[in-house]
Amino acid sequence: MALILKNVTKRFDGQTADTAVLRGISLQLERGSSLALTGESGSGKSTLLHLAAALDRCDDGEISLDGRRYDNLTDFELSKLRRKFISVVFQQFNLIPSLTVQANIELHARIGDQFDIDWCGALTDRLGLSTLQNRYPEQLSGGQQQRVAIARALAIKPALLLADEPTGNLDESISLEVIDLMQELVKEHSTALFLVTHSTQIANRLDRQIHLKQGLISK
Amino acid sequence: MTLKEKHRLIWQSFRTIISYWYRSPIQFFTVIFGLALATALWSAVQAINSEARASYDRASAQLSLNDHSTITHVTRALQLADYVVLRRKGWDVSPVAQFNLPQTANISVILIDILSHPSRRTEMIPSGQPSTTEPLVWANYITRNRLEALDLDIKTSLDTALPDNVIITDFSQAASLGLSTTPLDHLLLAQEQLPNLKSIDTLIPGLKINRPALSTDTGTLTESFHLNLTAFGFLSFVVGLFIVHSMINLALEQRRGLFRTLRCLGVPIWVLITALGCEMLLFALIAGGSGIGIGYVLASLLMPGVSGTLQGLYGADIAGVLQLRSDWVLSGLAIAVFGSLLAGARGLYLVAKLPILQSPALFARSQHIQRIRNRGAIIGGVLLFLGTVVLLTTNTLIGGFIFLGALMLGTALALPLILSKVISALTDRAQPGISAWIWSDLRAQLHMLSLPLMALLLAVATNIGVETMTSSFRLTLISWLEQRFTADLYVRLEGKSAPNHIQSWLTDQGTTALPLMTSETVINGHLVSVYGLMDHPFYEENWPLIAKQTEAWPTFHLGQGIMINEQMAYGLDLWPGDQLVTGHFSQPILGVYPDYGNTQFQMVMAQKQLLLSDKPTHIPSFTILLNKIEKPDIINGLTENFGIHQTQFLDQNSLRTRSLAIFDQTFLITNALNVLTLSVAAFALLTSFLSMWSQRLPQIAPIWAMGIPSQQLARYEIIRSLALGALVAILAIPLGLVLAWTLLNVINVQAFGWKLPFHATPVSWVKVTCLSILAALLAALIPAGRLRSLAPSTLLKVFNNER
Amino acid sequence: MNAKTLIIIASFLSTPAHAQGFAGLGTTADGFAVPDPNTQLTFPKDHGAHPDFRIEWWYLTATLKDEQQNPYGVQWTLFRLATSTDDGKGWNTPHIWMGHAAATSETDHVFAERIARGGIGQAGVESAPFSAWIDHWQLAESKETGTYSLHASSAGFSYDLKLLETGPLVLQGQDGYSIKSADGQASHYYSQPHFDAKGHIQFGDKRIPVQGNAWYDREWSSQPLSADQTGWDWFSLRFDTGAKLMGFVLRGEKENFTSGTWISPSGEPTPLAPGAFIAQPLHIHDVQGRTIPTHWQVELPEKDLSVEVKALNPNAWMGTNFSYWEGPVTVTGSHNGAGYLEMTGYE
Repeated sequence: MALILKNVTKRFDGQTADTAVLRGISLQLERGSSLALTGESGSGKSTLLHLAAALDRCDDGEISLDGRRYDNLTDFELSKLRRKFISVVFQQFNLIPSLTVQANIELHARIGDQFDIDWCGALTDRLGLSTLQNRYPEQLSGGQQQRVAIARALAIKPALLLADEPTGNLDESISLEVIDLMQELVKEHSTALFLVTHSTQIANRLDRQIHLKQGLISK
Repeated sequence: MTLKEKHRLIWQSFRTIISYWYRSPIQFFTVIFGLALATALWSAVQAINSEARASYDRASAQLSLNDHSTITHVTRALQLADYVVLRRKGWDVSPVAQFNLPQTANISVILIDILSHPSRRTEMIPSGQPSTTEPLVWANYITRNRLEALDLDIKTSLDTALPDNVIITDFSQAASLGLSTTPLDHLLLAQEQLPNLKSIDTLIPGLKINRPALSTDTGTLTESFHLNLTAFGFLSFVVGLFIVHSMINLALEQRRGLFRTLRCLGVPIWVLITALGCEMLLFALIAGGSGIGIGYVLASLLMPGVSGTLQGLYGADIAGVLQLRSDWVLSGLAIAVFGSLLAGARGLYLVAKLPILQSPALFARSQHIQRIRNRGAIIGGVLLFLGTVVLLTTNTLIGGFIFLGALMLGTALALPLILSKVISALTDRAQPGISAWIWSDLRAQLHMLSLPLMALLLAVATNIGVETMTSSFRLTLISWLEQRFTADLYVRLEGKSAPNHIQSWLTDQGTTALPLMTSETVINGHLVSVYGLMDHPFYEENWPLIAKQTEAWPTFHLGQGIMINEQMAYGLDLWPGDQLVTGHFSQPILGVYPDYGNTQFQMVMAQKQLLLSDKPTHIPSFTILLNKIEKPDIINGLTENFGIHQTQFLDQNSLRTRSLAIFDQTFLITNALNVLTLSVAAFALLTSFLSMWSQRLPQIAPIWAMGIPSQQLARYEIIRSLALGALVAILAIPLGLVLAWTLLNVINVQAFGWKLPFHATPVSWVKVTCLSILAALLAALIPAGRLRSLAPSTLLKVFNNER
Repeated sequence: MNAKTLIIIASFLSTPAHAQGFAGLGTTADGFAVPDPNTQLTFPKDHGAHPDFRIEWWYLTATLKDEQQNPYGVQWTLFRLATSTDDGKGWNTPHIWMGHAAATSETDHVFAERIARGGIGQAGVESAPFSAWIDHWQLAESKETGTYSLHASSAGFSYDLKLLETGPLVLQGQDGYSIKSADGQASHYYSQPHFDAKGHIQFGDKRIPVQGNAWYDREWSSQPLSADQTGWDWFSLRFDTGAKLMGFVLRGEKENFTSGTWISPSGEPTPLAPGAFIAQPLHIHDVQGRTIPTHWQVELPEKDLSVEVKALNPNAWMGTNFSYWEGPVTVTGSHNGAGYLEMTGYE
């Protein structure tokens, strides 16, 4: 099992056990498979994704990736985990506006010290970004920017790829194209894909679906 | 992680955060320029301070050739043998002879022994050095030119510290100038002497030590000015820190998103901080270097005045070139680096604490700001209180400076609260609708603007303080010089002169000669110079008093009381009405007079009273009122009949013009620095406006959507900034006055023992207020211009982006 | 004022541009008298000054002990330097006089310097009764008692010693003609190593009664060093046996030149052939930015002498205008004793 969550609880300031944003979530996700998380606004989807991405810590329960338990790790080790094994694709893309497309794609891999020029080149071609390499993010359309974000995420060949509403800013037709592409790539590289979306149409294209409601998995 | 991996990681992070500047060149230059400006301000003050110090030293040497005590014989001329006897008994003395140069009307030659002269004492060099052909005869430019005009073949080395018409040379050169080496005029007494020496009149009866005559040395006066310039430098340092702080925060603030993304990609926090530290260091070096360049140019632009003054004094272009002195170059770089790190420490701390994820608790922000504001005001209040306590209890120079620091910092910290209260009051009074929005929007912006506003406050207050101080200084100096040196001519007598003959000769010529009789005494362990004044209305008309009893002068001339200088009044806490009691001597204090050029205690009494005391007295100088007799006639007559040298005359006109020329120069420099400080503050304000830009849009867009055109919004932007500038200036005026008061009445009294009278100059307050408003206007122009030409699509994006 | 004063004195001393060696002592003697091997020294005349020669010194060093047997050293030197061969009088004299005084203990080293012009009475030498002075510093013979008194004082220290002659004068080299280089540079040189000394040294407020021996050297020349010699290491050693040794190494660019005199307990001098006296540094010490050998191995095979000579206080640097190292030393090995060491030319 790649990603395992056991009885995960998360509270923000002023929240009690009953009103906690996540109240004992357990789930598993193996490499090469994909999971869609749906739910209404404020249901805790993004919080759950942040916990899985090692961007935040849970209050109770445990999370592990390929056997490494997050709660035992220091901030420094969590950084290493993110650098080497985990990629996140955000709704706002979070590209570095001052770097070119190519530099953005290479950035995570270079930081993670696993830059592979051939693989980055292959990704660039595959995602149709070859002609855009020297442009800056602000010169691209939303769909193009999201593809850059996906390329950057996959450049480290992550064990876990997380995506938070990756198609939230995209047209429907482009959205489906992007999702299919992600699916294809994670299958090829046996990456686990964990995707947060509010669209059932997108959720249904993934291997499994779960629904979050008031901090609990409801389905 | 291996070391290599670490380096690679830091390098990648550094490259990424630095890439930001590549896409924002204008902001890059803004940050560099801001930092450079702060450094420039600091180094310009430093450069001018050190250059001014050097030129003051030259000028003050001009005013007093000789501030050493001298030894003369009461009845006869001194011989070389007297010198040798004293030397062989361990006294550190040096012989001096004075003659007029043959074939010239009034060029004096001072013969000295370069091996023993206390201030011209030579050092032997290992004789491996090449020799030089520099003549052993020194003169200034004017004297040099006169020698040339007289067609005398005398080769001289330049010494700009000498007065006009005076040549200094070694005894060995006397013969070549056609001069004798005997008799000696006097012996100079070095300040440091061996302990337990036999007294000189035991060794040679009849020898006596003459303390320097009535001091005309403005040395301590200029020292006081340096202290004030140093205080100015210190304040400009603080203003500089504020701007560096706001520049760095701007640079960090705008890259928060980038930092978050990097953290998401797994960059550990220490790597990020290290990379940012490197960036800061790089910026500090680039900006510091260019700042020193700007400071150098600035100071050079300000210096021509100084060199102009010197040009006037010496008749040749010298020393006008600003020297790149390592002290201020290094201190400039140091302030850039340490200032950036100090100012950036908080910013780096905030980055270190920056949550990777956007905090959901944004709503708490305004309460948080209120807390910070209150905390600042409380700390400020405590600082002010502690500063005042230190000032009142310690009564020292350090105490004065602590108070000054606490005053400036405390007020600055309290500023946001005060402003927020004032603006709240305005908001409450405003018409509901757009004007209420303007004020409430301004209030919302305050926390972002508080730092540059503090800098503006300090800059304005410093300007008012320094300007008040300089003008007080100048006005005091003018009136003091005018009053104390009203007489047309002063003559200092030396050992061999016969005062009685000189006085009767002067009276025969139709002038009024007022002899100044001197003596000295010790009171409470302080050496006090005592002067006996003749009964003449001249003194009452011209001797300024800062405190006096009624009928002070008539009582004084009756011999029924004394007057003391301000230093003595402060030092012994004696004021008019008090009684000075020492031994058998007991006299009421009738008046206290200012005595700016002096460090010693001094008192004056009626001449007959001094004569009746058992103190040995002599007459070291005459005050001469010419009564329309031609000055050159008197000077030549005294020279011919009594062998009095050029160096012994003090012409009040030249003294006054020279002193004022020097001070006017400093005045000019201060003015230029004032403008510079304000522009730095304006720049800080501008950068804050710019850094607020992205956050301003969401606030402006709804107003725009409600139908207020962007031109009008731009106008509001300017009005708001002007209001802030005016508010800060009004708050700064009292602060500046307290600052000036502290400099004049606390720092000066503690450092030098005299108080400078406070001259309020409301014109300068208006000027500085206008400058402050101008600064605010300039700072608002760019954001307002941007607002004016804002495309609707940009404003619309605000709505699109909202989730 | 500083740069200017340097220029002044440079012109004042009118030193030739090609000055050589330590303190210009390797400068050629042009115009000045040159030491002559046939000169017979006569006394008291030769106790006085020799204005025809360019340079001359009166040099007294004393090795002393206080009541607790702590060692001390005292140096008193008067130099005369002629800046030209003119015979100007009074203020126009070409002679500059320079006095150096120092007092040294294991922990302290204090020194002072005086400079004065000759010709006006401020500094000079009288041969009979003998007196040498600069300002209030002086070394003078008392007509009545035959003893000498020595005084120097400056800010922070002073000393007063009474000196009693206990043996004959010693002529160095060949009857007082002392050769300094293979090129034949030489000086006139004699010593009085037989002085008992008693008096006190004052360091700051601390007045210390002391007693011991003193060694007096007189030397004059016009070019005592050859052009390539950079400095010297000079030893005056006094052994418990009563014998004494004066030896020096003149350091040359090409080669060193050593010479010296062995003085028997009765005061009989034996000149040493060049190279007989051997001195090798054992340890160097950093003082005032210079590296100075303050610990030596000294050998004189013909007298079966092999001793270590070690500075009492390695920091005895004379930071005067012409700076050098000078201080008391202790002697241990085949012979035990005390003495003085002077090292010049370590720039």
